[in-house]
Amino acid sequence: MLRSKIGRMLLLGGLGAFWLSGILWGMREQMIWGREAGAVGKPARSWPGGSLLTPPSTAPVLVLAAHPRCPCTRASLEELAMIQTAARGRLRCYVLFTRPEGCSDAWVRTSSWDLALAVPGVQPLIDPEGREAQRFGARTSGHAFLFAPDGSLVFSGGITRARGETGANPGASCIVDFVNGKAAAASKAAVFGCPLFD
Amino acid sequence: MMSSLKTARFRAPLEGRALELFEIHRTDIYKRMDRLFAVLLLVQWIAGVGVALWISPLTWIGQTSRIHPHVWTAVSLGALITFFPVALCAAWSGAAFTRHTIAVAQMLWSALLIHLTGGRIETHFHVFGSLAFLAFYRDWRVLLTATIVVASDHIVRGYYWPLSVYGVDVRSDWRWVEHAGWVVFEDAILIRSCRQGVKEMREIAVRQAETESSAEKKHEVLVNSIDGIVWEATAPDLRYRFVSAQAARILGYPADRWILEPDFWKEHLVAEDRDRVLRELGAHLQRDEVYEMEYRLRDAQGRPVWVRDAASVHRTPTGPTILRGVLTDISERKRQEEQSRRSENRFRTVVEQAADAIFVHDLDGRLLDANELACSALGYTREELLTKSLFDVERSVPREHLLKAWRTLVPGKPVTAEGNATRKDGSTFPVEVRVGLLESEGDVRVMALVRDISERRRLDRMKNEFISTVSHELRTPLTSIRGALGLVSSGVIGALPEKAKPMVDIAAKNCERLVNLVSDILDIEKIASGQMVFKIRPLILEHFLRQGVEANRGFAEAAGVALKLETGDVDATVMADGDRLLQVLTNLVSNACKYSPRGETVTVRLSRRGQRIRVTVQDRGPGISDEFRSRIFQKFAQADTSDGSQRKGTGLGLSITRALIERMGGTIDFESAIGSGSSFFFELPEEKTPEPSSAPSSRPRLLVCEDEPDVAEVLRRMLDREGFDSDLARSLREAREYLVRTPYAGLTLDLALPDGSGITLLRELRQNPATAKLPVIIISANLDQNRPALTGHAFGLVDWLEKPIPEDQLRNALRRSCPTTAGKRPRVLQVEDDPDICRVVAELLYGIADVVQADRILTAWEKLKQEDFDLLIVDIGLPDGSGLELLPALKRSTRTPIPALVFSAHEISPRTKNLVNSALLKSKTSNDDFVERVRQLLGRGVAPPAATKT
Repeated sequence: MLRSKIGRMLLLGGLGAFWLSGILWGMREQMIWGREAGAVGKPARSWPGGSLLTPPSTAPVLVLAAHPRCPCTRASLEELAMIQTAARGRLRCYVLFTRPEGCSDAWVRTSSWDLALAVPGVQPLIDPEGREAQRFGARTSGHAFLFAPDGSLVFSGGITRARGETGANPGASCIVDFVNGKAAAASKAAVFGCPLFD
Repeated sequence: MMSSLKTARFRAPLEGRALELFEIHRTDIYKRMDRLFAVLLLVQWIAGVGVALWISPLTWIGQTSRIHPHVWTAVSLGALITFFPVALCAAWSGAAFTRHTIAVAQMLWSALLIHLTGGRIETHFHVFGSLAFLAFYRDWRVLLTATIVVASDHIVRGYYWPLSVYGVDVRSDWRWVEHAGWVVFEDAILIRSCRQGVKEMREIAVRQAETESSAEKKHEVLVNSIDGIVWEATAPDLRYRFVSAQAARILGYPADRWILEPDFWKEHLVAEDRDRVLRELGAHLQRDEVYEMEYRLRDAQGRPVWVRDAASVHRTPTGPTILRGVLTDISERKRQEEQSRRSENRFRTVVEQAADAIFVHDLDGRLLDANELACSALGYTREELLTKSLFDVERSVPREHLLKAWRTLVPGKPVTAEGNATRKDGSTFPVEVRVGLLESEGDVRVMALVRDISERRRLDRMKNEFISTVSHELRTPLTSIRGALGLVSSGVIGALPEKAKPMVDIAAKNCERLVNLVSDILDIEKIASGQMVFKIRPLILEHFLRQGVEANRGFAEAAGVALKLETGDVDATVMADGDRLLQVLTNLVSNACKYSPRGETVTVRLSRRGQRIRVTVQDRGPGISDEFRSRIFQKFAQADTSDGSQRKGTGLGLSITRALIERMGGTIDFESAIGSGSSFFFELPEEKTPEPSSAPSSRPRLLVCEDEPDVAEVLRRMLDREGFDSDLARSLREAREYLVRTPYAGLTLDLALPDGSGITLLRELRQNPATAKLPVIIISANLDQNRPALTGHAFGLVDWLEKPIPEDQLRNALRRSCPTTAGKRPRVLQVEDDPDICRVVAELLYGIADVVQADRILTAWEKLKQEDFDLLIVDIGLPDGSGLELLPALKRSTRTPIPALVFSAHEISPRTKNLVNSALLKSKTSNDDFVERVRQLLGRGVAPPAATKT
């Protein structure tokens, strides 16, 4: 009886260990996937001349490239909302929603669009075929560009800490610090999101 | 203090039943929570997939999309997290490993959900909620495991991916503590709650154990207080699961053996009962819910014990059939039944072998049982006889008499009587029946022992004939011998030689002895057979004793003994036969004289003992020895004298004396002391003088002086018929008492009264002015003998009548002596045209009224005018009209209204009845009724009928 009890304990222990290992592995893979940053293009050092957007003059301008249907875009927009809250109106934002070729505007106007529309000081724009985003050098949804009033690029990168995760992150902190006149801790951060282009 | 005392027992380590109950409760909680978490994990898995599908269903590259990795993560990783603990719940619910695994899984689900929801702050509450839910295990270790998982997650991710935890890409060794701290804070509260919960569980367990213990004790006491073995077993294998401790007392085996030994019960069945019991049990199990069986079990000493097994069958849908019952020791009852059965058999044997016929019937005479002799004696078979009633057997006694007699029987007091039994063929034979009441289980029965006394009767007849013959054949020659010897001895027929005289004297004396012996033997026999006739009448003892003493004085003088009488002031009367009482007195006095020395005195004393009168005969003889005392009243018993010789006598005197006294309702006994003499005494109940009737009556009252009861009864009836009330005086003394108290209209006087001659009373009456004119009718048995005493004296007698009393002479004498009203006989006017009716009425009313008759209305009318009448008796149908026509004239024609009686042959209408005082139909009225009605109308002085009222 004692032998069977020990055997059972060993069996269960082994199964448990196996189980836990599988879970940990899965979670690790998730963690890895979550930490996998998206591709970034070559960002312009200053406001692109060919941009159709109004360049900064007296206040910094933040441009965010977003895939309208990417789940991670929502996290970026929520972070944008927090940034705008912290910026207290001193930041002008543009969110460029990429509209792939052949898709209609309705394809773009998703809940992310509505969320961007709801954030004060944020102007969502439909970016046909992502041309505008490309001018700024964005290739992944959630890539944010902060330009100083003089048009120089202050920050380029993501404003989430992992794919689809809100919460404190270096990108948002940098933007907020700059807008509030503090020294920015970083000038770039990883971008977590879906690719904007095929 | 009280709180600590109260809780001290809950803090003490649990043991026994409390610990068991606690463990059961706790395990139950674990299992329940395991099941709940199993469901929750599944729900979370589904929810996780749902969340992933809702928040991030697709991932995009440009306009190309595919399933988001979160969805796959939710499905696969979620399943992995969920199914192992769920499997553990199914296989090993309640185990510590299971709940700890659940804790791990639950916290991993928190991490996954946070990840799937993109780290939303709201999802972090899943951690705290899960901890709270895990606290329901009431096992703080589970919380510890969950906390470790949370902390580990923070530590590992904080180390490897600080950005995902803290939002910065900078590692921090202790910042996880800040995050985990909130979990620890909640843990602190939850752990306290767990411990409190466990404490409460302990308290509940302790209380429940105490309650169970108390209930168990009560149950045990209750079960063991039942006078029987309480048991529970499964069927049909009869494995006992519970047997009460009474098993040891009743059968001598401990209860455990019943449970531990599978076939204990079967093996201890007595062999003779086994098959039957098992068969019956099988049948009961098939059909019954409740059953009873009686059988024997062997006890520890091997003795069979009768038990009654009362059980119930409980069938369950899935489990075994349960039997529950009580075994009761019925050995005593069986023993009593056996005794009763044997007693019944013995009784039956006795009844069947009895020398008498025995019948048992109910109070209505219906025969219920009879023995063989009863059947054979009557010629019936038993079956035939039991269809009969006792009235078919005993036909000589009226049914009502028998029914009444049976209902007056008293248990334990049988009654004996004689009767006749009728056989089937109708012949009868005399029987003596002894009847007694039988009461059994509420039923009342009558048992009659019937003995054929034909032979006895025949023997009695033979004996009586023999006695009569012997009496005659012995007495006759003895009388002759005595007479002849007397003549020879007295010298009447010539002088005897000197030598011959003593011989003749001897012969004469012995002849006398023989005569006395024969008389005594015949007396004894007569008394024993009930043939001796006693003439019971009032006897004034003082007078009687004086006569008795005088009658025996000669004997006393011959014995040289003085005879003295002491009556004191006792004036008492007893009911006795004077001759027989004199025989008793003579025997006692003669014995006293025989055993008294010469010169001594024998005293006869009269005294009162309460309601009884005692007559004592005392002598100064040698006394009665102790050995003779018990035999003194036996036949042929004689005490020896001091010289060893016997006194004269037959030895039957005292035996006869006792029989005589007892037949007269008295008792006899003696007192004696050696050397001081003996006192023999008899007692008789005193006869009190009855009080004269105090009932008011309008009839004249006579005093009947007569000591013979039969004659007195006849005389009083005659007087009653003639319209007189009467009192009875049985002696002069009583007569004097009556005469003082009551004024009489007349007197009938027997001249021979116990305490004197009636002439004495007659003289007294005539000398008393109050009674000088009192009418007296002499009634005597021997008028001629007494006539000289009556003639020549102005006694003023109404008449002299000789017994037996002639009724018409008595009537005439009464008529002359005692009118029924004060100086005047009632006068009745009878209006009747039928001469026969007239004659009858005149005869009927002769003793109570003078009847004047009229056959016409007119004649009656004239008589009513001219004469006074006390009553009108009228017929309705008269030649000249209806007798009712006279009614209105009664008032006018008479000075005082008189009552009217219609005496008609026709039906009398109610209207007519209302007109008169009374109405009688000739055909339906008896003579006695007619006379009585007339007497009432004459005696009451009723108002005249309504028709005469003005």
